[in-house]
Order: sequence, then C-alpha cells, then structure tokens
Amino acid sequence: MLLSLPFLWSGQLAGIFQIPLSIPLLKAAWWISTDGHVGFTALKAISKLREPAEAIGCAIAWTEKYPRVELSAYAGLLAAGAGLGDIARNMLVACGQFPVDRLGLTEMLEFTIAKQFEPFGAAGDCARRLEARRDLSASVSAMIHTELLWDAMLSGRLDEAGRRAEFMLSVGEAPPAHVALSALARHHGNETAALRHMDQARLAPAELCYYRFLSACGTGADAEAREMLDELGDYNVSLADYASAQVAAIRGEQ
Amino acid sequence: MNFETALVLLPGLVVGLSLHEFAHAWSASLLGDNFARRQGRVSLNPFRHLSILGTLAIFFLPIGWGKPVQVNLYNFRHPKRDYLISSLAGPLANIIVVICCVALAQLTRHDYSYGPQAQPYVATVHFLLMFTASINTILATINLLPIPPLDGSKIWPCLIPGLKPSFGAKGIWIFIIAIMVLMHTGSLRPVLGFAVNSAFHYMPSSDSHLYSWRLEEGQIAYKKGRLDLAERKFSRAIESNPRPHYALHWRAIARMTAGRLPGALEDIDRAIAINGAKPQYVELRSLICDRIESPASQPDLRRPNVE
Repeated sequence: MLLSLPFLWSGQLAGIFQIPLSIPLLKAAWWISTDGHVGFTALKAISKLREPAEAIGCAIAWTEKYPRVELSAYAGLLAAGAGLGDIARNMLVACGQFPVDRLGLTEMLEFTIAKQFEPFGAAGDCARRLEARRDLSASVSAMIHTELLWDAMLSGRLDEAGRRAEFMLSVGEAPPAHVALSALARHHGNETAALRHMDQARLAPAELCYYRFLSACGTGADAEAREMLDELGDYNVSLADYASAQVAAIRGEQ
Repeated sequence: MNFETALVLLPGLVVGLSLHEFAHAWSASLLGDNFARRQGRVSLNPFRHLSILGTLAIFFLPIGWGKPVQVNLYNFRHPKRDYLISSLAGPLANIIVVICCVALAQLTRHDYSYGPQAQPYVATVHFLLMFTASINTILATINLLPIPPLDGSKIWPCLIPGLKPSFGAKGIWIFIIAIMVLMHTGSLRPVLGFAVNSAFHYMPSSDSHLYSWRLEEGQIAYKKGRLDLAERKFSRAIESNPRPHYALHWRAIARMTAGRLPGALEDIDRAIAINGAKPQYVELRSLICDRIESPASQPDLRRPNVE
C-alpha cells in the first residue's frame, strides 16, 4: 500500500497535465497495492483521460484477478454512463457479493440503474427504499432526495414537495429545490418569493428548463409547461423527450 | 522542524488526530449519520484515521492531519445544528486531551518523589504529556480557523443565518496551500503562540525541569558575577530536588567565592554525603578548608575554575 502511493500521486499529478505516462503509473499503483481504494482512485483518473470503454475494460480485468467492491461499482457507474445497461447490472450483482462497501458506491449504482434503465416508477421506488437508510453517502442522498422531491411534485403532493425542497435547502446548495419552491410560491400567489427562488436557482439553461417544466406540470401551470418543453427542445431534444415521457408515465400511474 | 523534535511530537499527534477524527465520526453517528460508521471511522484504531501524507508532514511542518471524516447532512434530523455539533466535536476532543494531559501531569510533576530508579521514566512521561498537550492545543486552535477544509469553516456557516453549512470541494486545494504557506511562514504564530502560552499557563513543570532550569539560571548569574542572585537560584534548585548534590556543589562554589566559607563547607559536605566523594567535590572541599584555615581568609572574589 505504502509503496503504491508514489505511483498513485505521480500518476494523478501527471494526469492533471494530461501526460501519457500517468496511465502506466496509475496501473502500477493498483498492481502494487491491489487495494480497492487505490484502484478506484486510479480508475477515476484513467476514466478522465481515456474513453469509458478502456476504463471499464481495465476495471473488469482488475476485478477478475482481485475482486474489489469499489472497482465493480465504479465500473458499473462508467458502464451506466456509457449506456451499457447489461454490464452495469452485472457489476451491481458483483457488488452484492461483498459484505462491506465503505465508499457507498453500490447504492449509487443501484439508483443510477433504476433511473436510467428501468421504467419511470423504478427510480422513485428505489429512492423510497433507500430513503430509510442512514448510512448512505451524501451524493446518493442528494440524488434520492431530488428524485423524491420531483416524485411528490408530479404526483400532486405539493405540501410534501415543499417540505422536501426546504429540507434540501437546509442541507446545502440545491438549485432544483429553488425551482420547485419558486413554482409552489407562484402556485400560492406569492410572486415575490417565486422570483426570489428563481434568482437563486443557478442552473444550466437546459436543466433550468427541465426542472421548470416538471414544476409547471406539478402545479398545473399547463401553458408554462408547454412553453418550457418547447424551450427545452431547443436546448436538448432527448432531454425534452425524456421529460415528457417522465410526466406522462407518472400521470399514467395515478 | 528537526527530526528529534518531530519524533517527540509524533505520539501526541497520533493521539490527537485519532481522537479528533473519531470524535467527528462518533458524534455524527450519535446524531443519526451512519456513513462514517460504515466507513469504519467510529474506531479508536489510529490506522483508520491517519493519512500517510498528513502524518509525515510533521517532519516538515509543525503540524499534521488525518483523513477527513465524511459527513452526510441529509442523515441529520437538524442539519445545521447537528453539523455544528459534529464539527465542534473534533476540536473539543483535542481540548479534552489537553485537560487529561494536564490532569495526569499532576501525578508526574513531582518526579523525584518516585525514587531515583523510576524518576527518569516519570520525567519522560511528564515530558511526553506536556508535548501531547501542546500539540493538541495547536490542533484545536488551527481547526477552529475559518479556512476550508478546517472545522472552523464548517462551524461559522452553521451559526450565521443564511449561510449554507456544506462546502463543495471546488478550490479546496487553494485553501490547503494557503494554510501550508501560513504555517510555513509563521504567519499563524501569534494565534498559535497565544493558544499554546495560555495552555502552558495551566501545565505544571516537573520538579526535575524546575531543578535544571533554576540551576541553569544560577550558573548564568554566577558567571555574571551576581553571587547573591546565584546563591538564591541554587537554593531554589536545592528545594526542588531531594538529592541536589550538583546544585549544592554549585552553591558551595558561589558561597566560597562570596567568602561565606562555613556555608560553602556545609554544602560540599552535604553533596559528598549524597553522591559520594567525587574528585571535583573533594578538590573543592580541600580548597574551602585551606581558605578557612588560612589566617587571611577574607572574601576572595577570585572564582575557582568551574569549567
């Protein structure tokens, strides 16, 4: 472990300057230590420098020789990011065989798979199941709270959505929560609060349109919803399609 | 920092960092966030908390650091309040270490009372307790500075309305480099000096330390020719050590130089009674006796060779 650190640190440093030597250094760090955390750090750096396929291949090769939960989970996340649902699911199964996942990546992979490759309700179900857990990482908690906020919003449980948004803002920066609170304030006729929250919702234009569309659908502001969907289509067609399918699916369930 | 000082500071640093990180993890766990427990951080095992770079840093900087405990605010019932408590727990643990060290030092301060066999060990333990208290004072003080990623940067947003408690990792390296520069250039010395001096005010010196210190002061006074002051310092040194043969030898020299020959003879006789007839003691005794027996035994400011 100690011996691998000079390789890991120099590999990471070389990676910052995009020097090709960083990849062999990071691989050497893993082979010397075979520690899951070192492997995860090395894989993260490799995935930034190379194509996801190469990083996934690397992770699979490493886990075949020395199975580590961090490597399986991260490989699954990379696969999910590349749209490779089957590999991501296989990696999730592999993660389940380890008793302890200290980094909490398994739940992130589980939720990512539910969100990306399962029918629309699956992510909400997964989020509800994970919500009761008190040992999740902050990034997984943020994902599930965001999911449950929009689930409540689109299901018409506006009080619950308001409470969830307020809680998210009490924890930290949460621009989507500001969008939800802005829509709720407008719904209750409080234009000042609506504008104040919208000012604080610092998001990329496409994301802002996406969340404003969901908020408008949730609060029954159909005209604004149509306007936002059109605007979202201008920024990102696939996200617009996803958003309209998401709303249709949740409304279809009710 | 030289290697020997760093080695002496290392046990205190290991204890301080381990308890500091344990306190963060344990308090978070008590408040409902079990992520640190899942990561194995609710443990007193130092290897769970020490970072290699942070531990080795003690050899280059006057401080080190451990692996930060990751806290998930979503798991807290009252995020701001609970994050404040969990952030304060680390520096509080260091303050508790300081209090414990000062309390234990009450047992080791009178090291001569443990007898000549145990005295060196008791003195070493006292010395380590004092260093542990010092480094934990520094750890607590530095961590309360409002600079990310130190605990102080997490505390203030919890107290000031409108600020968000969580801080993103963006730009954290700039702050880390800034802290290192501040440490290395000594810019934090006024703050740290104030904290350490305040803590030292409550830290008891050991009798052996007081003995050496007073003896040294007496020797300096003697070399400057301030014989009365030297005698007073040697007398105070003699009070703090039950076997003060060396201080008695020096007071005998000071008294002889000042012409107080009966007192000098009494001192050197006591030194011989305590530590045996060492050649330098015997030589001084014969010198004093010669002067007593000599009819012109007036105050002689010609000092004997004490080098």
